[in-house]
Amino acid sequence: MAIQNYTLADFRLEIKTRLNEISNDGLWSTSELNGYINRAQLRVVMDTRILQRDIPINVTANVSFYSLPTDTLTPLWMYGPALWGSLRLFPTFLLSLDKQYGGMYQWEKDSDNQSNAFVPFSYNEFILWPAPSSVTTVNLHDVPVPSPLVADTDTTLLPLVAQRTISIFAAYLAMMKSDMQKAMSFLKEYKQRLVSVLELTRHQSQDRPTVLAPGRSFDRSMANPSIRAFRNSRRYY
Amino acid sequence: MSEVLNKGQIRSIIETYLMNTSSDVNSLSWSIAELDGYINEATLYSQQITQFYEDFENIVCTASVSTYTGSPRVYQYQRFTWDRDFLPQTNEYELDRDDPSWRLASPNNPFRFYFPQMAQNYQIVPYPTPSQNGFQYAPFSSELGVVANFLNADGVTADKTYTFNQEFGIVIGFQDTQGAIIMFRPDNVTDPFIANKITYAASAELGELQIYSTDELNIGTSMVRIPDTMVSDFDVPQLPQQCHFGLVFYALMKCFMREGEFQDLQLASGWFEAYGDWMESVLENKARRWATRVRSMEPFEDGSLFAKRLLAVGYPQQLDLKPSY
Repeated sequence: MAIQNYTLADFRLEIKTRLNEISNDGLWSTSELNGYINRAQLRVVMDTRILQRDIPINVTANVSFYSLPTDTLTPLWMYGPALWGSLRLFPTFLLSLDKQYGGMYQWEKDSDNQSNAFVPFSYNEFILWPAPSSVTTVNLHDVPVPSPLVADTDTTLLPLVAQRTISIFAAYLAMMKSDMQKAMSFLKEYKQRLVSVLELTRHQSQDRPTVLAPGRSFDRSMANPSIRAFRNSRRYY
Repeated sequence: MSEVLNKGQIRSIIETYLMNTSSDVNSLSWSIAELDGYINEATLYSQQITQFYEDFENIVCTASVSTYTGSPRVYQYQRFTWDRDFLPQTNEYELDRDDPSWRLASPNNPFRFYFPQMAQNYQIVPYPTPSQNGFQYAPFSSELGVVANFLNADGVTADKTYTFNQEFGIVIGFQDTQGAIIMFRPDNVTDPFIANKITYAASAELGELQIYSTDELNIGTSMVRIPDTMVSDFDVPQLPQQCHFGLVFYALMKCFMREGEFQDLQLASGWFEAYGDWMESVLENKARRWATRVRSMEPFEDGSLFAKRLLAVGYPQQLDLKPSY
């Protein structure tokens, strides 16, 4: 037996069953339902951040200002090319750069070099600092906008547990046309089901708090026997 | 199909929800102009809530001119520079306190600025008054040269498929390799709406660049923008694509809130709840952008992000909103 993988037609059938309009188009047309399904897919990815990828962004010498890929939904982090040692680039703020060296540093007039920081700007742009000194690529790790389902046989990249929430949310979007109260019950169901998907996300990313640095007791490097042995050995030097 | 929706597509979804497909402007229900108005209002309101759309702009300085007018596109200023140096904000009280004769100071290189008055557009006074004219290239003349190149969608490499001829016009594509961080902005004098505002490549339809300035010897500003008013049905809201569908819900709320035969405050409330739910997800997602960027010492925000922003920008008072909003 195989694991189910929803196609666009499967989603639509499930929604039509929920709406009790299985056989023909009545209040909801096929193209309308397809629209709701794609919006529901976007919403599930927004809520769960399950799709993630690395994508290169071309940069050129002496230019600081770049756009994110058009299909980036949530940019997460960036790292430099092998040319720059594949080091992580750190997010900062324009005002933080202004404050360097007591506010006396003219960073905007700085010469080009290996970039080590970037300033996210607007929703789709970023500024590399220092400006790159060579033509290369930086790598963005992001959550992309999911590819829309167009043909009836198209499938999503989401795992099954996340796929199941798509039809619930799409049914909510469709039902709002007819009965707001029933629609809200679908929304409630979606939020309950979403918890199981978020559990999957947590398992996948092994999240630790990223904003506050975890305390020493959370230092996982000690779980590695060779590191532990090395650290312990230093005590006797 | 993409999740980028233009004004026409958003209106079409609204009309589907309203089961209102009449194009008769005299129909009793909701006219196209009315729905367009709601969509534009939704865009502004969503921008106020999310503050997603930021922009740069230069204010060209003229020697010995003290007061400058900010652009009408500004919602809130974030940062000022003069000649690419950070310009801290001050006010007249501080200047009086620190140097009683500051009003008589001779023109020099500015190192502070203040807002002397409040009006529709910001008034800006750099202090001291600039003593030099800033860089700008306008209008283009045969002496200065006119042509550069189109850029590909990556914003970096030149698009060699365009040749410049009478049909396409003459300009566009600039980069300042002398250190200005603003490389090239789309020509928003002629047409601010480039689909999704991602590509820097101009098209034949955009016309030519009219003015170009750098921030050398000028005031450079970064700001949270007021989105441009959408006119054509092909105009795209200047918000990320995940916000576009949320605008539908806001406009529907406005449709049912309108005084008259179709008023239904309960439905309006329901649509506003749907808008709040969608925008909460958008804001939650926004909070997770660049996850390692330290914004506050609190690792997690309590409660609803949307509700907090709603308190800051106001909510539709006709609706009896639940305490959570």
